[in-house]
Amino acid sequence: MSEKNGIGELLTLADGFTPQRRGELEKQIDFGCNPRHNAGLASGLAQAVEAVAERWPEAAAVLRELAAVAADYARREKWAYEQADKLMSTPEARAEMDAEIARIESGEAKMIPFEEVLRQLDEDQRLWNERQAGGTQGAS
Amino acid sequence: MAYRVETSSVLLARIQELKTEANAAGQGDSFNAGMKDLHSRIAANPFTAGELKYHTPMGFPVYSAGSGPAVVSYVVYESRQTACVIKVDRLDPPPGPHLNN
Repeated sequence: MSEKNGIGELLTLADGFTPQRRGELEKQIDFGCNPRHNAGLASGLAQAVEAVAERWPEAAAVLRELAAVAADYARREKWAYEQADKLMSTPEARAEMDAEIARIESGEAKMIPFEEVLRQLDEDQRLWNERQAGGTQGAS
Repeated sequence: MAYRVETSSVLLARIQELKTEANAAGQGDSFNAGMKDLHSRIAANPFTAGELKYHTPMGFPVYSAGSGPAVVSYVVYESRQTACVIKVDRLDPPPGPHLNN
């Protein structure tokens, strides 16, 4: 994305959205799992805003909001990938992952379907919510 | 085709640690949503989700936007149509006003 497409302005606009509005707008955009795809999407929307701004200002206003959340999404995603890359690229992290792979491939690691992990997380959340509700009632 | 996603009991314990931290920060629901998002993305297409090359244990992340930054690394065993999560961690929140969302 380049500044010539008004990305800075779009990010400022996105910063002003309420979480609810941001969520509504994000749902209208078909983000992909690939940060390059999402950065390209944001750049394309920003260019579209410029292209229609003069002739179709109403359309540009709608597009501008979409472009703003797309730019913000791409910014957050880029930041996260950079941070994650640093986190996962350390010698310690690589050694940890290599050891885990060795345990998996030797059969030493007991493997669990991820659905079971999610089920346990949901159960944990249910218990946490119950405890919080109990604490609130006890305090009142 | 959907891939199976698995992890080890060691990683499950790590995920539960992170979940406890998220609960303490009042972000337990968000954490669970993030994990579900990661699971569905990897299951749908592990090669796209983290840009992970086949059988290469590089630490490419999957970013769960909108539900708190989370990062996983996984290795894909294509012959078994299975992706094994080998590291899970949480990132600090990104800078910016949206942090308060």
